[in-house]
Amino acid sequence: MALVSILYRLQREMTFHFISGIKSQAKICCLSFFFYLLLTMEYLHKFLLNPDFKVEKFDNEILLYAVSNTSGVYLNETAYLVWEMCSQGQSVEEIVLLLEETYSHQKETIREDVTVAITSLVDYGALIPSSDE
Amino acid sequence: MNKTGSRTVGFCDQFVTINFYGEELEGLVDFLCCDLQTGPESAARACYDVMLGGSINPMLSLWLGERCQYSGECRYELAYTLINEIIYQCIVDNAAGHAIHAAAIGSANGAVLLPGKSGFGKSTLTAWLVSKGCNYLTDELVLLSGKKKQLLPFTRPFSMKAGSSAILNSFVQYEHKDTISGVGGFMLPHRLLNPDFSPLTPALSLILFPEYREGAVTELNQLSSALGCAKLMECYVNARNIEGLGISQLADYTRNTPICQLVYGSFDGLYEQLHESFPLLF
Repeated sequence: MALVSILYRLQREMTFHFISGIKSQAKICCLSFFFYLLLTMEYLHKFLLNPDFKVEKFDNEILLYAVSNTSGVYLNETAYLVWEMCSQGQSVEEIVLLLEETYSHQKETIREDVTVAITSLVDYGALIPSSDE
Repeated sequence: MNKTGSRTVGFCDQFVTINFYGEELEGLVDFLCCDLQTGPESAARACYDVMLGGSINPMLSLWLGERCQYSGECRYELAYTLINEIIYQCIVDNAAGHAIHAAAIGSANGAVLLPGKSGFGKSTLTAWLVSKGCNYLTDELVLLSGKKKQLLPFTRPFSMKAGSSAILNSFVQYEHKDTISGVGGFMLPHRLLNPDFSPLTPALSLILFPEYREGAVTELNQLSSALGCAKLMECYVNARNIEGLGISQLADYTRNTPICQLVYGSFDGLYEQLHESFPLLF
C-alpha cells in the first residue's frame, strides 16, 4: 500500500490545467495512476461529475470551469468523450472497452488516453470517485 | 507637510485620488498617470498620499489612509507599488467588462491582445511592435466589453524587467534620465517609441499568446477557440465580479476572434511573419 500511496500522491501533486499539451507530466501521471489502478483494480470504479463544474461547449471540445476557483480545464475530443461517458455512469473499464470497440485502429493507445484523461480530471477535481462499487 | 497637489485618475470609471507632497512627486505621478482617465475627487474609491521626507536621506513613502504601502529610497519601487495599487482599486469591484492581464496594440483595423502572465515577455514584445509602427495601448491590463468586443486599455508607461534593457537598447534610443529605474526593473515613457500617441479603444481583432523562449525558432500556431478560452481564463482578473464568471461571453470572444500562440527566441523575421499572417494588423 505504501507504493500505491506514493504513486497516488505523485500523480495528485501534478498541477494540471490542460489535459493535452503537457506530455511529460501526462506520462508521469499516467504511469502513477496506471500502477495505482492496477494495484487497486479500480478499473471497475465509476466517477461522478463534480456539480461545481460548469461546461462551455465548443465544436468538438469543451471547457470545464469551477465557479469556486475561476480557472478552466480544456478537454480535447478524447477527454470530452470520457467526461460524457462518466456522466452516463460508466466505469473506467466500460469506457475503455467502448472506445476500443469504436476506435479499433487506435486500440493500443486508448487505455492510456482514458487513464490520463481520468487522472487529470480527478486531479483537477472535475471528477469524483463514486462510492458505488 | 503641505500638500502640493493631487490627481484623481482611474480606469473604466473607477477612480483613486493621489495626493502628493513635493514638486518632484508631482512629476512622478504625472509620469505614471498621464494617460489614465481623470475624474472628480468625489468619485474616488480610495485616497493615496505620496510623500518625500528627510533631508539627508530622502525617504519616499506611499500611504493608503494610515497604512503604509511603501517606504524607502527607490523611486522605481514607489512607482511600481503605486501603479499596482491603482490597478487593484480599479479592478477589484469592476464588473463593467472582462479584465484581462494582457498587453495590447492597436491600429485602424482593430486591436491585438497579447495575454500572458508576468515573465512571458509581453512588455518587451509590445515595445518592439510599437517601434515597428503599431499603436501602443497597454503592456499590462485591458477590459474587454460588450458584443462589439471593445478593448479598453490601461495605458501606463512600459514597465520592464531589468534584464530587458539590452534588448530594448537594440531598437529604441533612450537615456537613463528618461526612465524610472530600480534593481528589479525600469519604466519607460511609451511616447519615446510612440510619439504620435492618441488614446484608442479599438475592437478586438486578434488574440496572440506570446511566449519568449531563448533560442527558439519563431512559430505562429493557430489555437482552437476552446484552448484559447482556457488560456485566456488564466489571465482573467475579475471573473468573480461577473455573473457566471462571464465565461460564456469570454467564450464568444474566442469563437469570433482568431487566436494564435507565438513562440519566439528573437525578433529576426518576426514582423514579416506577423505581417504575412495578419496583413491588416501588422
